[in-house]
Amino acid sequence: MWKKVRIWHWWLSLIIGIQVLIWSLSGAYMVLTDIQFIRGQHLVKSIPSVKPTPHINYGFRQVLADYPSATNLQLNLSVQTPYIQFNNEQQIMKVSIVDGKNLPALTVAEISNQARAHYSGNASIENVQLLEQAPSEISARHAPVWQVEFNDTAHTTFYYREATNTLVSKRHDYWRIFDFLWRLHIMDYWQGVDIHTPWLTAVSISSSLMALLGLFLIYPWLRHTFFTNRKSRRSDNVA
Amino acid sequence: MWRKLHRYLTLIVGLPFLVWLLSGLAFNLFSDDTLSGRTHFQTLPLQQAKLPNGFSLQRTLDKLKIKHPDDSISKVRLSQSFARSTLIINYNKSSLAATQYLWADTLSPIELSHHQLLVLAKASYRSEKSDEVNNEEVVFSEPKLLPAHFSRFRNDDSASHNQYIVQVDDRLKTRIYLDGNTAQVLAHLNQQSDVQDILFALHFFDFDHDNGLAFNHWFIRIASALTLLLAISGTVMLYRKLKLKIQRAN
Repeated sequence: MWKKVRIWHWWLSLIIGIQVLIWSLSGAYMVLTDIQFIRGQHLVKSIPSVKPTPHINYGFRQVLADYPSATNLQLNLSVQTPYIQFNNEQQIMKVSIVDGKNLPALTVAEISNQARAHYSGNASIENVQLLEQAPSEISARHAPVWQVEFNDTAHTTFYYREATNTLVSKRHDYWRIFDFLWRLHIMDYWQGVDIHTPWLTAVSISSSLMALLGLFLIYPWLRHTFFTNRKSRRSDNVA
Repeated sequence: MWRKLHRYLTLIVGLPFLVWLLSGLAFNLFSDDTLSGRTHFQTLPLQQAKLPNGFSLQRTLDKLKIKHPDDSISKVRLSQSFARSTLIINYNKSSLAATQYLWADTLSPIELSHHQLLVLAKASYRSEKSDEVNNEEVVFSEPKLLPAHFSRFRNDDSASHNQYIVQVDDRLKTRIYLDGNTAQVLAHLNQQSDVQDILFALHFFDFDHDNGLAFNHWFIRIASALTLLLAISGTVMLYRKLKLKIQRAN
Protein backbone atom coordinates (compact mmCIF):
# COMPACT_ATOMS: atom_id res chain seq x y z
CA MET A 1 0.00 0.00 0.00
CA TRP A 2 2.77 2.46 0.95
CA LYS A 3 4.47 1.77 -2.39
CA LYS A 4 1.30 2.86 -4.22
CA VAL A 5 1.03 6.00 -2.08
CA ARG A 6 4.68 6.81 -2.88
CA ILE A 7 4.11 6.32 -6.62
CA TRP A 8 1.02 8.56 -6.60
CA HIS A 9 2.88 11.22 -4.57
CA TRP A 10 5.74 11.06 -7.08
CA TRP A 11 3.53 11.32 -10.16
CA LEU A 12 1.47 14.19 -8.77
CA SER A 13 4.68 16.01 -7.82
CA LEU A 14 5.96 15.52 -11.33
CA ILE A 15 2.80 17.00 -12.86
CA ILE A 16 2.15 19.98 -10.56
CA GLY A 17 5.45 20.28 -8.66
CA ILE A 18 6.49 23.45 -10.49
CA GLN A 19 3.30 25.26 -9.40
CA VAL A 20 3.82 24.11 -5.80
CA LEU A 21 7.36 25.51 -5.94
CA ILE A 22 5.97 28.78 -7.36
CA TRP A 23 3.35 28.96 -4.58
CA SER A 24 6.00 28.41 -1.93
CA LEU A 25 8.34 30.97 -3.44
CA SER A 26 5.68 33.64 -4.04
CA GLY A 27 4.04 33.02 -0.66
CA ALA A 28 7.40 33.35 1.10
CA TYR A 29 8.14 36.64 -0.70
CA MET A 30 4.72 38.01 0.22
CA VAL A 31 4.98 37.29 3.93
CA LEU A 32 8.70 37.97 4.35
CA THR A 33 8.53 41.47 2.86
CA ASP A 34 6.71 44.09 4.91
CA ILE A 35 3.42 45.00 3.23
CA GLN A 36 3.81 48.70 4.11
CA PHE A 37 7.17 48.67 2.33
CA ILE A 38 5.60 47.01 -0.71
CA ARG A 39 2.88 49.68 -0.72
CA GLY A 40 5.65 52.28 -0.86
CA GLN A 41 4.70 54.11 2.35
CA HIS A 42 8.39 54.81 2.95
CA LEU A 43 8.65 56.65 -0.37
CA VAL A 44 6.43 59.59 0.55
CA LYS A 45 6.41 62.36 3.09
CA SER A 46 3.54 64.69 3.80
CA ILE A 47 3.64 68.16 2.29
CA PRO A 48 3.20 71.00 4.77
CA SER A 49 0.32 73.36 4.05
CA VAL A 50 0.95 76.66 2.34
CA LYS A 51 1.68 79.35 4.91
CA PRO A 52 0.20 81.86 5.15
CA THR A 53 -3.02 80.62 3.53
CA PRO A 54 -4.37 83.22 1.10
CA HIS A 55 -7.60 84.89 2.19
CA ILE A 56 -10.60 82.86 1.02
CA ASN A 57 -12.77 85.12 -1.09
CA TYR A 58 -14.39 82.23 -2.88
CA GLY A 59 -15.47 79.51 -0.41
CA PHE A 60 -17.98 76.66 -0.25
CA ARG A 61 -20.92 79.09 -0.17
CA GLN A 62 -19.88 80.77 -3.42
CA VAL A 63 -19.28 77.38 -5.09
CA LEU A 64 -22.80 76.22 -4.17
CA ALA A 65 -24.28 79.50 -5.40
CA ASP A 66 -22.53 79.22 -8.78
CA TYR A 67 -22.83 75.43 -9.12
CA PRO A 68 -26.03 74.35 -7.26
CA SER A 69 -25.56 70.66 -8.12
CA ALA A 70 -21.98 70.56 -6.81
CA THR A 71 -21.07 67.59 -4.57
CA ASN A 72 -17.94 66.37 -2.74
CA LEU A 73 -16.65 69.87 -2.01
CA GLN A 74 -13.16 70.00 -0.58
CA LEU A 75 -10.64 72.69 0.14
CA ASN A 76 -7.05 71.68 -0.60
CA LEU A 77 -4.38 73.67 1.23
CA SER A 78 -1.32 71.50 0.63
CA VAL A 79 -0.52 72.83 -2.84
CA GLN A 80 1.17 76.01 -4.03
CA THR A 81 -2.15 77.47 -5.19
CA PRO A 82 -4.87 76.37 -2.72
CA TYR A 83 -8.15 75.50 -4.43
CA ILE A 84 -11.63 74.07 -3.95
CA GLN A 85 -12.35 70.86 -5.78
CA PHE A 86 -15.85 69.51 -6.40
CA ASN A 87 -17.91 67.27 -8.65
CA ASN A 88 -20.24 69.02 -11.03
CA GLU A 89 -22.32 67.03 -13.52
CA GLN A 90 -19.89 64.11 -13.63
CA GLN A 91 -16.93 66.43 -14.00
CA ILE A 92 -14.26 67.21 -11.43
CA MET A 93 -13.68 70.95 -11.17
CA LYS A 94 -10.99 72.96 -9.41
CA VAL A 95 -11.48 76.64 -8.69
CA SER A 96 -9.24 79.24 -7.08
CA ILE A 97 -10.14 80.30 -3.52
CA VAL A 98 -9.04 83.82 -4.38
CA ASP A 99 -11.21 84.62 -7.41
CA GLY A 100 -13.23 81.46 -8.16
CA LYS A 101 -11.66 81.02 -11.59
CA ASN A 102 -11.13 77.54 -13.00
CA LEU A 103 -7.56 76.48 -12.39
CA PRO A 104 -5.56 75.57 -15.51
CA ALA A 105 -4.16 72.05 -15.80
CA LEU A 106 -0.80 71.60 -14.12
CA THR A 107 2.35 71.86 -16.21
CA VAL A 108 5.23 69.36 -16.24
CA ALA A 109 7.24 71.71 -14.02
CA GLU A 110 4.43 72.01 -11.45
CA ILE A 111 3.88 68.25 -11.30
CA SER A 112 7.65 67.75 -10.96
CA ASN A 113 7.74 70.19 -8.04
CA GLN A 114 4.83 68.42 -6.39
CA ALA A 115 6.45 65.00 -6.88
CA ARG A 116 9.77 66.26 -5.54
CA ALA A 117 7.98 67.58 -2.45
CA HIS A 118 6.25 64.22 -1.91
CA TYR A 119 9.32 62.08 -2.52
CA SER A 120 11.24 61.12 0.61
CA GLY A 121 14.41 60.05 -1.21
CA ASN A 122 17.25 62.04 -2.75
CA ALA A 123 17.14 60.81 -6.35
CA SER A 124 16.37 63.15 -9.22
CA ILE A 125 13.38 62.94 -11.52
CA GLU A 126 14.19 61.01 -14.69
CA ASN A 127 10.99 61.40 -16.67
CA VAL A 128 7.57 63.07 -16.41
CA GLN A 129 4.74 62.37 -18.84
CA LEU A 130 0.98 62.59 -19.06
CA LEU A 131 -0.60 59.24 -19.95
CA GLU A 132 -4.09 59.14 -21.43
CA GLN A 133 -4.40 55.45 -20.51
CA ALA A 134 -3.27 54.09 -17.19
CA PRO A 135 -0.41 51.57 -17.40
CA SER A 136 -1.12 48.03 -16.18
CA GLU A 137 0.57 48.64 -12.81
CA ILE A 138 -2.16 51.03 -11.65
CA SER A 139 -5.95 51.00 -11.74
CA ALA A 140 -7.46 52.09 -15.08
CA ARG A 141 -10.02 54.30 -13.29
CA HIS A 142 -7.30 56.86 -12.46
CA ALA A 143 -6.61 57.74 -16.12
CA PRO A 144 -5.45 60.16 -17.40
CA VAL A 145 -2.44 60.20 -15.07
CA TRP A 146 0.86 61.97 -14.69
CA GLN A 147 3.71 59.45 -14.48
CA VAL A 148 6.78 60.68 -12.60
CA GLU A 149 9.81 58.37 -12.69
CA PHE A 150 12.70 58.78 -10.26
CA ASN A 151 16.29 57.85 -10.93
CA ASP A 152 16.75 55.55 -7.93
CA THR A 153 17.75 51.89 -7.66
CA ALA A 154 14.17 50.66 -7.15
CA HIS A 155 12.87 52.68 -10.16
CA THR A 156 10.31 54.50 -8.04
CA THR A 157 7.36 55.85 -10.02
CA PHE A 158 4.65 58.17 -8.74
CA TYR A 159 1.27 58.49 -10.44
CA TYR A 160 -0.85 61.63 -10.09
CA ARG A 161 -4.46 61.67 -11.23
CA GLU A 162 -4.72 64.54 -13.66
CA ALA A 163 -8.27 65.48 -12.66
CA THR A 164 -7.42 65.98 -8.99
CA ASN A 165 -3.59 66.33 -8.94
CA THR A 166 -3.56 63.75 -6.16
CA LEU A 167 -0.93 61.08 -5.72
CA VAL A 168 -2.85 57.88 -6.46
CA SER A 169 -0.14 55.23 -6.69
CA LYS A 170 3.47 54.64 -5.73
CA ARG A 171 5.30 51.86 -7.52
CA HIS A 172 8.80 50.48 -7.19
CA ASP A 173 10.62 47.31 -8.27
CA TYR A 174 9.80 45.39 -5.07
CA TRP A 175 6.11 46.12 -5.70
CA ARG A 176 6.56 44.96 -9.32
CA ILE A 177 8.13 41.68 -8.13
CA PHE A 178 5.24 41.28 -5.66
CA ASP A 179 2.71 41.86 -8.46
CA PHE A 180 4.48 39.41 -10.79
CA LEU A 181 4.58 36.74 -8.06
CA TRP A 182 0.91 37.41 -7.19
CA ARG A 183 -0.06 36.68 -10.81
CA LEU A 184 1.89 33.43 -10.65
CA HIS A 185 0.37 32.64 -7.23
CA ILE A 186 -3.24 32.91 -8.42
CA MET A 187 -2.40 31.60 -11.91
CA ASP A 188 -4.04 34.57 -13.63
CA TYR A 189 -1.04 35.59 -15.68
CA TRP A 190 -2.79 38.34 -17.64
CA GLN A 191 -4.98 40.44 -15.33
CA GLY A 192 -3.83 39.24 -11.91
CA VAL A 193 -7.33 39.49 -10.43
CA ASP A 194 -9.26 36.26 -11.07
CA ILE A 195 -8.83 33.66 -8.35
CA HIS A 196 -11.67 31.46 -9.64
CA THR A 197 -10.10 29.97 -12.76
CA PRO A 198 -10.73 26.25 -13.47
CA TRP A 199 -7.00 25.54 -13.88
CA LEU A 200 -6.38 26.92 -10.40
CA THR A 201 -9.09 24.59 -9.10
CA ALA A 202 -7.52 21.60 -10.85
CA VAL A 203 -3.99 22.34 -9.63
CA SER A 204 -5.21 23.12 -6.08
CA ILE A 205 -7.05 19.79 -5.84
CA SER A 206 -4.08 17.86 -7.24
CA SER A 207 -1.66 19.65 -4.89
CA SER A 208 -3.86 18.99 -1.87
CA LEU A 209 -3.92 15.32 -2.79
CA MET A 210 -0.14 15.32 -3.27
CA ALA A 211 0.39 16.98 0.11
CA LEU A 212 -2.01 14.58 1.81
CA LEU A 213 -0.20 11.57 0.36
CA GLY A 214 3.11 13.10 1.42
CA LEU A 215 1.79 13.41 4.96
CA PHE A 216 0.67 9.77 4.89
CA LEU A 217 4.19 8.74 3.87
CA ILE A 218 5.53 10.22 7.07
CA TYR A 219 3.88 7.45 9.06
CA PRO A 220 5.94 4.46 7.78
CA TRP A 221 9.11 6.59 8.01
CA LEU A 222 8.36 7.57 11.60
CA ARG A 223 7.52 3.99 12.55
CA HIS A 224 10.65 2.65 10.92
CA THR A 225 13.08 5.36 12.03
CA PHE A 226 12.00 5.99 15.58
CA PHE A 227 9.94 3.11 16.91
CA THR A 228 11.73 0.19 15.20
CA ASN A 229 15.17 1.58 16.06
CA ARG A 230 14.18 2.22 19.64
CA LYS A 231 12.73 -1.28 19.98
CA SER A 232 15.79 -2.91 18.46
CA ARG A 233 18.06 -0.77 20.65
CA ARG A 234 16.05 -1.78 23.70
CA SER A 235 16.26 -5.48 22.77
CA ASP A 236 20.03 -5.08 22.18
CA ASN A 237 20.41 -3.58 25.65
CA VAL A 238 18.41 -6.42 27.22
CA ALA A 239 20.57 -8.95 25.43
CA MET B 1 20.49 14.43 2.82
CA TRP B 2 17.67 15.99 0.74
CA ARG B 3 15.36 13.05 1.46
CA LYS B 4 15.99 13.36 5.20
CA LEU B 5 15.46 17.13 5.06
CA HIS B 6 12.25 16.65 3.05
CA ARG B 7 10.90 14.17 5.60
CA TYR B 8 11.72 16.30 8.64
CA LEU B 9 10.24 19.39 6.98
CA THR B 10 7.08 17.44 6.13
CA LEU B 11 6.86 16.52 9.79
CA ILE B 12 7.16 20.19 10.81
CA VAL B 13 5.21 22.11 8.15
CA GLY B 14 3.29 19.37 6.32
CA LEU B 15 0.05 20.17 8.09
CA PRO B 16 0.24 24.00 7.70
CA PHE B 17 1.09 23.43 4.03
CA LEU B 18 -2.01 21.28 3.57
CA VAL B 19 -4.10 23.93 5.36
CA TRP B 20 -2.73 26.56 2.95
CA LEU B 21 -3.68 24.45 -0.04
CA LEU B 22 -7.17 23.61 1.22
CA SER B 23 -8.02 27.18 2.26
CA GLY B 24 -6.65 28.44 -1.08
CA LEU B 25 -8.87 25.91 -2.84
CA ALA B 26 -11.88 27.15 -0.85
CA PHE B 27 -11.14 30.77 -1.89
CA ASN B 28 -10.97 29.53 -5.46
CA LEU B 29 -14.31 27.71 -5.25
CA PHE B 30 -16.42 30.31 -3.40
CA SER B 31 -17.45 33.37 -5.39
CA ASP B 32 -16.46 36.76 -3.95
CA ASP B 33 -20.09 37.87 -3.57
CA THR B 34 -21.05 34.79 -1.59
CA LEU B 35 -18.62 35.59 1.21
CA SER B 36 -18.64 39.38 1.15
CA GLY B 37 -21.17 39.92 3.94
CA ARG B 38 -22.83 42.65 1.88
CA THR B 39 -25.99 40.67 1.04
CA HIS B 40 -28.22 43.31 2.65
CA PHE B 41 -25.95 46.30 2.22
CA GLN B 42 -27.11 49.37 0.32
CA THR B 43 -25.22 52.60 -0.18
CA LEU B 44 -26.66 55.63 1.52
CA PRO B 45 -28.13 58.15 -0.92
CA LEU B 46 -25.90 61.11 -1.66
CA GLN B 47 -27.24 64.14 0.17
CA GLN B 48 -27.24 67.54 -1.47
CA ALA B 49 -24.54 69.77 -0.04
CA LYS B 50 -26.08 72.45 2.16
CA LEU B 51 -24.36 74.94 4.42
CA PRO B 52 -25.57 76.25 7.77
CA ASN B 53 -26.70 79.87 7.91
CA GLY B 54 -23.82 82.32 8.23
CA PHE B 55 -21.17 79.70 7.45
CA SER B 56 -17.88 81.14 6.24
CA LEU B 57 -14.94 78.93 5.26
CA GLN B 58 -12.42 81.63 6.19
CA ARG B 59 -13.96 82.13 9.65
CA THR B 60 -14.07 78.37 10.19
CA LEU B 61 -10.37 78.04 9.37
CA ASP B 62 -9.54 80.95 11.66
CA LYS B 63 -11.47 79.34 14.52
CA LEU B 64 -9.76 76.00 13.99
CA LYS B 65 -6.37 77.69 13.93
CA ILE B 66 -7.12 79.39 17.25
CA LYS B 67 -8.14 76.02 18.72
CA HIS B 68 -5.09 74.19 17.34
CA PRO B 69 -2.37 76.78 16.59
CA ASP B 70 0.38 74.19 16.08
CA ASP B 71 -1.47 72.05 13.57
CA SER B 72 -1.57 72.75 9.88
CA ILE B 73 -4.73 71.86 7.99
CA SER B 74 -4.17 70.22 4.61
CA LYS B 75 -7.74 69.51 3.55
CA VAL B 76 -11.31 70.43 4.51
CA ARG B 77 -14.15 68.33 3.08
CA LEU B 78 -17.82 69.18 3.28
CA SER B 79 -20.30 66.37 3.89
CA GLN B 80 -23.85 65.86 5.15
CA SER B 81 -25.22 63.71 7.90
CA PHE B 82 -28.71 63.75 9.43
CA ALA B 83 -29.57 66.90 7.46
CA ARG B 84 -26.62 68.69 9.03
CA SER B 85 -23.39 69.74 7.38
CA THR B 86 -20.21 68.09 8.60
CA LEU B 87 -16.59 68.98 8.03
CA ILE B 88 -13.83 66.41 7.68
CA ILE B 89 -10.57 68.12 8.55
CA ASN B 90 -7.23 66.58 7.57
CA TYR B 91 -4.15 67.74 9.45
CA ASN B 92 -0.63 67.23 8.19
CA LYS B 93 1.19 66.29 11.34
CA SER B 94 0.21 67.24 14.78
CA SER B 95 -0.41 66.24 18.32
CA LEU B 96 -3.99 65.72 17.18
CA ALA B 97 -5.24 62.73 15.29
CA ALA B 98 -4.73 63.34 11.58
CA THR B 99 -8.46 63.49 10.80
CA GLN B 100 -11.28 65.21 12.65
CA TYR B 101 -15.01 64.98 11.99
CA LEU B 102 -16.94 68.08 13.09
CA TRP B 103 -20.45 69.49 12.79
CA ALA B 104 -20.09 72.48 10.47
CA ASP B 105 -22.40 74.77 12.50
CA THR B 106 -20.83 74.33 15.94
CA LEU B 107 -17.36 72.92 15.05
CA SER B 108 -17.88 70.36 17.79
CA PRO B 109 -16.91 66.70 17.21
CA ILE B 110 -19.63 64.48 15.78
CA GLU B 111 -21.04 62.12 18.35
CA LEU B 112 -24.13 60.24 17.22
CA SER B 113 -26.83 59.27 19.66
CA HIS B 114 -28.06 55.68 19.84
CA HIS B 115 -31.17 56.71 17.96
CA GLN B 116 -29.11 58.25 15.14
CA LEU B 117 -26.88 55.18 14.97
CA LEU B 118 -29.94 52.99 14.60
CA VAL B 119 -31.32 55.22 11.84
CA LEU B 120 -27.96 54.96 10.05
CA ALA B 121 -27.91 51.17 10.41
CA LYS B 122 -31.44 50.85 9.03
CA ALA B 123 -30.66 53.18 6.11
CA SER B 124 -27.75 50.94 5.09
CA TYR B 125 -29.88 47.77 5.22
CA ARG B 126 -31.80 46.42 2.24
CA SER B 127 -34.51 43.89 3.09
CA GLU B 128 -34.84 40.66 1.18
CA LYS B 129 -37.73 40.54 -1.27
CA SER B 130 -39.10 37.41 0.41
CA ASP B 131 -39.28 39.31 3.72
CA GLU B 132 -41.22 42.11 2.07
CA VAL B 133 -43.65 39.67 0.44
CA ASN B 134 -44.21 37.86 3.72
CA ASN B 135 -44.51 41.22 5.44
CA GLU B 136 -41.89 40.08 7.92
CA GLU B 137 -40.01 42.88 9.56
CA VAL B 138 -36.46 42.26 10.68
CA VAL B 139 -35.53 43.35 14.18
CA PHE B 140 -32.52 45.59 14.81
CA SER B 141 -30.79 45.43 18.19
CA GLU B 142 -29.80 48.53 20.15
CA PRO B 143 -26.34 49.84 19.13
CA LYS B 144 -23.67 48.37 21.35
CA LEU B 145 -20.25 49.97 21.83
CA LEU B 146 -17.46 47.73 20.53
CA PRO B 147 -14.77 46.74 23.03
CA ALA B 148 -11.53 48.72 22.92
CA HIS B 149 -9.49 45.80 21.55
CA PHE B 150 -11.75 45.54 18.49
CA SER B 151 -9.67 47.59 16.08
CA ARG B 152 -10.56 45.89 12.80
CA PHE B 153 -12.21 48.99 11.34
CA ARG B 154 -10.13 51.56 13.16
CA ASN B 155 -8.06 53.86 11.06
CA ASP B 156 -4.80 54.92 12.71
CA ASP B 157 -5.25 58.43 11.33
CA SER B 158 -8.68 58.88 12.82
CA ALA B 159 -9.62 60.21 16.22
CA SER B 160 -12.58 57.90 16.15
CA HIS B 161 -12.65 55.05 18.65
CA ASN B 162 -16.37 55.27 19.11
CA GLN B 163 -17.53 52.29 17.09
CA TYR B 164 -20.78 50.38 17.48
CA ILE B 165 -22.42 47.16 16.38
CA VAL B 166 -26.08 46.67 15.51
CA GLN B 167 -27.26 43.09 15.16
CA VAL B 168 -30.06 42.22 12.79
CA ASP B 169 -32.28 39.24 13.41
CA ASP B 170 -32.37 38.09 9.78
CA ARG B 171 -31.63 34.76 8.08
CA LEU B 172 -27.87 35.53 7.77
CA LYS B 173 -27.53 37.16 11.22
CA THR B 174 -26.24 40.41 9.72
CA ARG B 175 -24.06 42.62 11.91
CA ILE B 176 -23.78 46.30 11.04
CA TYR B 177 -20.69 48.18 12.21
CA LEU B 178 -20.99 51.94 12.63
CA ASP B 179 -18.75 54.80 13.62
CA GLY B 180 -20.28 57.23 16.08
CA ASN B 181 -17.66 59.90 15.38
CA THR B 182 -17.75 59.89 11.60
CA ALA B 183 -21.40 58.95 11.04
CA GLN B 184 -20.24 56.26 8.64
CA VAL B 185 -21.28 52.66 8.09
CA LEU B 186 -18.03 50.74 8.49
CA ALA B 187 -19.13 47.30 7.32
CA HIS B 188 -21.82 44.69 7.06
CA LEU B 189 -20.79 41.23 8.19
CA ASN B 190 -22.85 38.06 8.45
CA GLN B 191 -22.57 34.28 8.73
CA GLN B 192 -21.27 34.09 5.15
CA SER B 193 -18.50 36.58 5.78
CA ASP B 194 -17.67 34.61 8.94
CA VAL B 195 -16.80 31.69 6.65
CA GLN B 196 -14.49 34.03 4.74
CA ASP B 197 -12.93 35.14 8.03
CA ILE B 198 -12.25 31.51 8.94
CA LEU B 199 -10.63 30.92 5.54
CA PHE B 200 -8.49 34.05 5.94
CA ALA B 201 -7.51 32.94 9.43
CA LEU B 202 -6.43 29.56 8.06
CA HIS B 203 -4.63 30.98 5.03
CA PHE B 204 -2.76 33.67 6.98
CA PHE B 205 -2.51 31.91 10.35
CA ASP B 206 -4.01 34.97 11.99
CA PHE B 207 -6.70 33.80 14.37
CA ASP B 208 -7.40 37.15 16.03
CA HIS B 209 -9.39 38.93 13.36
CA ASP B 210 -10.71 41.60 15.69
CA ASN B 211 -7.61 43.68 15.05
CA GLY B 212 -7.56 43.21 11.27
CA LEU B 213 -5.68 40.75 9.13
CA ALA B 214 -1.91 40.50 9.59
CA PHE B 215 0.29 38.49 7.29
CA ASN B 216 3.77 39.59 8.26
CA HIS B 217 3.81 37.91 11.66
CA TRP B 218 6.69 35.69 12.75
CA PHE B 219 4.79 32.39 12.69
CA ILE B 220 3.76 32.67 9.04
CA ARG B 221 7.23 33.92 8.11
CA ILE B 222 8.93 30.86 9.63
CA ALA B 223 6.30 28.49 8.20
CA SER B 224 6.63 29.99 4.71
CA ALA B 225 10.45 29.82 4.76
CA LEU B 226 10.33 26.16 5.85
CA THR B 227 7.67 25.40 3.24
CA LEU B 228 9.86 26.92 0.56
CA LEU B 229 12.68 24.64 1.73
CA LEU B 230 10.24 21.71 1.65
CA ALA B 231 9.33 22.51 -1.96
CA ILE B 232 12.98 22.95 -2.97
CA SER B 233 14.01 19.64 -1.37
CA GLY B 234 11.09 17.92 -3.09
CA THR B 235 12.09 19.42 -6.44
CA VAL B 236 15.71 18.28 -6.02
CA MET B 237 14.58 14.73 -5.18
CA LEU B 238 12.19 14.73 -8.11
CA TYR B 239 14.92 15.91 -10.47
CA ARG B 240 17.39 13.29 -9.26
CA LYS B 241 14.89 10.47 -9.54
CA LEU B 242 13.85 11.59 -12.99
CA LYS B 243 17.49 11.80 -14.12
CA LEU B 244 18.13 8.30 -12.79
CA LYS B 245 15.07 6.93 -14.59
CA ILE B 246 16.18 8.50 -17.88
CA GLN B 247 19.71 7.11 -17.45
CA ARG B 248 18.31 3.64 -16.77
CA ALA B 249 16.02 3.86 -19.78
CA ASN B 250 18.98 4.71 -22.00
